[in-house]
Amino acid sequence: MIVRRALSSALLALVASVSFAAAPPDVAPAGSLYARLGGTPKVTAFVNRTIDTVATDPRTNQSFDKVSLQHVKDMLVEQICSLTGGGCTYTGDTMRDVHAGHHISNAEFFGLVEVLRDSMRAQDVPLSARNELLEILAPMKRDVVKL
Amino acid sequence: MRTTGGHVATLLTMLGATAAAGDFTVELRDAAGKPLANAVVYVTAKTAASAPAAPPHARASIDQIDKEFVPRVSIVQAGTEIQFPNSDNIRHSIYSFSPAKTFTTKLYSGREAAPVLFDRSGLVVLGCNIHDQMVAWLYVVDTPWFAKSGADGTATIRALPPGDYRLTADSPEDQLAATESDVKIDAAPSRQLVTLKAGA
Repeated sequence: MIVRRALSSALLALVASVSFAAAPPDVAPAGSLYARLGGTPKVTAFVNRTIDTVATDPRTNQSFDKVSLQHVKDMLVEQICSLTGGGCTYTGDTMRDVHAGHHISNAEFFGLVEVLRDSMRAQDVPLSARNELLEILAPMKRDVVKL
Repeated sequence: MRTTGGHVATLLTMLGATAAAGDFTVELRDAAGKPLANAVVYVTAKTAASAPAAPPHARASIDQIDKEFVPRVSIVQAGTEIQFPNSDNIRHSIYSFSPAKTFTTKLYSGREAAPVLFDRSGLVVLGCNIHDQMVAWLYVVDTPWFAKSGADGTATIRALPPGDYRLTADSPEDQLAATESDVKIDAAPSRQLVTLKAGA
C-alpha cells in the first residue's frame, strides 16, 4: 500500500511537472537567480512595466507597432525564468528571429535597458540580482540591434 | 435571330458588360442598399449535376503586408493548398482554431513556409499570435462555383452550367448573417440581388 501510494504520488508529481514545465512557477527554486529576482510575481511586474513603458514612449515604441504586448510580456517572463534557473522552458522564437526586420537602433536598445533597470528598482529587486540579470541579457544585443 | 444576338452583344459591349453565357452575377447589398465588397457567394448543385473537384495541388495565396492579411477574405474549393508568403520583413505566427482547419504556422522573413492544405469545407478564421488585430476569413467550399465581390458589390460566378442550385452569400467583414436561397440557372447570363441582414 505504502509503495503504491508513493508510486502514485510520484506519478502525480511527474504529471504536474510535465504539464507545467513551460509555465513560470508559483514558487521559484530556492537559491536561483529567479528566486532572488523575486520569483514570478516580481519578474512579471517589472516585465509588464518595462514593456508598457517602452511601447508607449515615442523614443522606443516604433518596433511595438500593432504588436500584441501580452504576447511579448508572456514570452519575456518565460525567457527570463528559463535563463535564471526558474525551471521554465522558453517556447518563443530566437532573439534574432524575434527582432529581424524591426530595425532596432542602439538608442532603442539602451532605452529599454534603462527602463528595465528602473522597473526592477521599483520592485525592490536587490542590486546584485539586477546586475546578474543584465549581464545575462547583455550579449543578446547582437541579435536585437540593426537587423 | 443571329442579327438580334449580334445587336445584343454590341449593346452589352457598349455598356461595358462582359458577361458570357452562363455567367451568374450576384449583387450583394446590406439592408440599407449599400453594395457589399469582399462578400462571398457560392452555389452547390441541387440536381445531381457533377461538380468538378479541385484539381490536384490547387494553390491560392494569402499574403501578410504591413501586419495585415491580404486579401482579408478568400474563398477556395476544398483540396486547395494555401501559401502564406509573408511580404513583411518581420515574423508572423499565424493560426486557426476553426474546426474546418486547426493549425499554426510560423512565418519568417525570407524563409518560405510550407503551404497548408485545406481539405475540409467550412469557414476558417485566421489570426496572428504576435499581431492581435490581424484577421482573415477563408471560406473552404465543396464546389468549384464561387466568387468574391469587388468594390461595386457584385460577384460573378463564371460559366455556371444550367441547373438548380443552392446559393449561399456571406459578408464576414460586415458581420452580417449568411443567407441561402434557391436559384435556377439557364444558358443565358443571369443576375440576382441578395440582401444580407444584420447578424444574429
